[in-house]
Amino acid sequence: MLTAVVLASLAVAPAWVQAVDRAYLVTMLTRIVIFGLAAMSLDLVVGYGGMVSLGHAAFFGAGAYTAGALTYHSLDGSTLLGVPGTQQALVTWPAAAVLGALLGAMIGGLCLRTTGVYFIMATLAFNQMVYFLFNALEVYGGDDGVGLFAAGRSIGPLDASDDVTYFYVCFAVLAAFVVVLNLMVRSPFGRVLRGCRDNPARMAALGFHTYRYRLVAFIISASISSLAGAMAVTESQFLSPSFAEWTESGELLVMVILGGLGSLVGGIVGAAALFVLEEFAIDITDNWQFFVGVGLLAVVLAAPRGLTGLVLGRGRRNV
Amino acid sequence: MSELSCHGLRKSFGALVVTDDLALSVRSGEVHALIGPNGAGKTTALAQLSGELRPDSGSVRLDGTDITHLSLPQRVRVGVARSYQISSIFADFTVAENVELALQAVGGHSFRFFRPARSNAARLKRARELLAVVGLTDAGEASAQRLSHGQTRQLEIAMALASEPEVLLLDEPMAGMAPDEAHRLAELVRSLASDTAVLLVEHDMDIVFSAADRISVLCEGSLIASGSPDQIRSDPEVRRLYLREDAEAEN
Amino acid sequence: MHLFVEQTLNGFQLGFTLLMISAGLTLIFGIMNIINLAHGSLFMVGAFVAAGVGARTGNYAVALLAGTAAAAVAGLVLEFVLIRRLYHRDHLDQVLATFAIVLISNEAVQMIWGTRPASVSAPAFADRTVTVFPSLPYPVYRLAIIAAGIAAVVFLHLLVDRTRVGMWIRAGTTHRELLGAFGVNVRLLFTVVFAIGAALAGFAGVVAAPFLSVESGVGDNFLILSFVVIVVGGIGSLKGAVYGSLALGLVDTWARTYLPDLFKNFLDASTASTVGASVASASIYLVMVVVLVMKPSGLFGLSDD
Repeated sequence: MLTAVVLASLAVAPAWVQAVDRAYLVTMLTRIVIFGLAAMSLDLVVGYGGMVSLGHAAFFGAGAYTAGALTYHSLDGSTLLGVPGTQQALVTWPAAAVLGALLGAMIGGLCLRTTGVYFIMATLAFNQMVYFLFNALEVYGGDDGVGLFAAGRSIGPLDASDDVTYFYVCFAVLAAFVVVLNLMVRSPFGRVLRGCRDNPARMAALGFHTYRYRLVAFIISASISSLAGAMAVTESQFLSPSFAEWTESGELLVMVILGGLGSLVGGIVGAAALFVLEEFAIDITDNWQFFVGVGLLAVVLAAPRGLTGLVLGRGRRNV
Repeated sequence: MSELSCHGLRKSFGALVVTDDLALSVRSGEVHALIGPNGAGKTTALAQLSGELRPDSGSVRLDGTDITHLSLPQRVRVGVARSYQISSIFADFTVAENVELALQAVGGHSFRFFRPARSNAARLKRARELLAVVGLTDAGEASAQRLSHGQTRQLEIAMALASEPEVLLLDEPMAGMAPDEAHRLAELVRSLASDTAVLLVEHDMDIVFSAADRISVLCEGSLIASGSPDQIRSDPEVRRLYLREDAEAEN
Repeated sequence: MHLFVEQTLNGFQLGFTLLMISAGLTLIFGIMNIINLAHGSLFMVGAFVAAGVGARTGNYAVALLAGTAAAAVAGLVLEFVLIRRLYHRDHLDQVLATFAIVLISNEAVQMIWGTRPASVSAPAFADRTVTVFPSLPYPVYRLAIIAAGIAAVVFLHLLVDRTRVGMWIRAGTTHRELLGAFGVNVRLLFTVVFAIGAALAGFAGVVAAPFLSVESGVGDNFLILSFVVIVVGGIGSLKGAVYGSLALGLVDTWARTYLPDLFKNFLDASTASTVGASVASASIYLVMVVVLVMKPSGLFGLSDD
């Protein structure tokens, strides 16, 4: 129900911001959709799988670098490891999703050998490794990054250079994954995943290889986060390591918690809350994240079930 | 006819030897009780039989096949299931869902992503049958956290039965139960033993001596006696051990 | 050979800096079971206060004292106001609450000191060099850091192995529930340990500051590096923190020195320097990968089985 309301509100939001003469806010709406998708995929891992990943910006960044690099070489006319570049999102986005899955298999495969606080530290460490690797890529401007402003936004035959069109493309992707992920958490797989979160020792005693189920969830989540990263670089048309900064991982986690852990739609609500706050607060101070910090403290200490928990009076906290 | 056995099992944590050259066997058709004072190493022995702990040396065999190297989930698949001393159910799931989850564990893989978990009619039916076996027929749709302590123990056993085990390892299933509840559960355990091998770790001597076909006594990691309830009752070493315990309890 | 000796000393210097951060982090984790992302912020507090005091007084010793004390006080306040509310929360809550502190302190530092990087200059005496090896002059300041690191190891060793507080710390790390039974004032113990960890992090911030541009978030990378140290060395283990820090300090420094040259043997010069630099920047994480594969609980951590 809440999911339908959130999606419907997002669907009409571009028309609304245009009606009140704030058309520039459409790009903010697009960012809500993109980061909402990434946060939702993180919720699969944290909220349903009980794996506190503090490294998802690595996947978001990997998606951005996959799509960004292909776009860069297309503009440049050069090749990437012998492959010509392309600006076609129907190629760059799936490529990002595949690469994100591979990276997720590597990082998840290693980090899931540990649990608890080790897992948190290890995911954060790998995030930093990926971040430094992007910093070392001089061909894409090193730590300064590189602009891709000459690129268009082609999604199949559709030209989505216009911001409103691009919003709806991203919205369609988000809506599709809302459906897919909601099916997933109610499926046999989702039930096993929740079991691994609640009592991994008992799951093993029942005969489950918990490592495999967790890893598959981690890979799915990494792949979706990576896709979101590709969508983000197509939106911003600027590629830089900041997509993969560790604080981005923290912020994705903040979105999930702000919206409500283990609810999927909470990720979108959390993303919206954060971007709307930024929009208003940045006029008052450059240091608006100070208030994100204060708000986050308040939520953790006083409203651990997040905003949707406040509204609906339910939601779960037992990770 | 199946038999789980172990030979020469040894396990130590640092200088502390918790299992010392242990040999045991349990066959289908019998309830084999493992008793001993606190700290005798009963739970550690069970953990090595179930695959949670690797022994330092020695072997565990199922029907003659060495399964020492198999992990806990792998042993479930070959027919060795266990329940826990401390209730270990999924409190946020319904009672039936707990059993369904246990069924999922052995009914092929669960990499099914899109159909609702509850849509598998055969699994649901089997879950209800298992609940009926342990006497929880009407509790299926209740949230597992609403069960009484005794009902939780019954659910534990239903979950252990889901894998249709040949060998059932029960770690103090009656702990904390009222006497009449405990005796009903003991009857259930007895009835299960008709086609399953049951190894029962239990404190309550009344239940042990009425429900077990064979009893083994563990003390400081090694076996001091094994035999029928009558033999154990008259074993001088066992008497000494339990008399000493009683004396200590009185002091 | 000169290069090797020089880089090895540099590696020890980085290692001992990491040690001062990770030792506190691992003690805090071991005894209180809390993951503290704000530990890097305490490093930052040390560096910033030292920069401010140093600019005003021109006296490095005063700046060092002030930076260390400020971090200790910040740690005390943090423990008192927030951390003690988190002891019984899950790790996710601890991550979020301490991440909030990271955001708040990174922004607060910008509001107070502005966005222009500050700097701390090394003390006057330390500008000199000494000859540590035939015809190899080496900066005194870097040697002083190594000496301070050794002093920190000795201090922690004496604290943990020889004192009553240390006995409680060891007992608390393995059997947390027993502390109360011993009649230990657990709250006070936690506060003291947290403040010691904070002071060490602040001290590390001051001594490392001359090599850094002191700006918002300067401690974050050190925080993550010390997480790598802890994953490699094992949580709650002081020994693990010592060996892990030194090993990673050396690996990182050696890799940055030698890998680009090594790659020149099979790649052209420009590719070799790019690839070499990338691999070098990832070298310590590769060490972590090996440890995760071989011994997921860390080299000196309590084993899983």
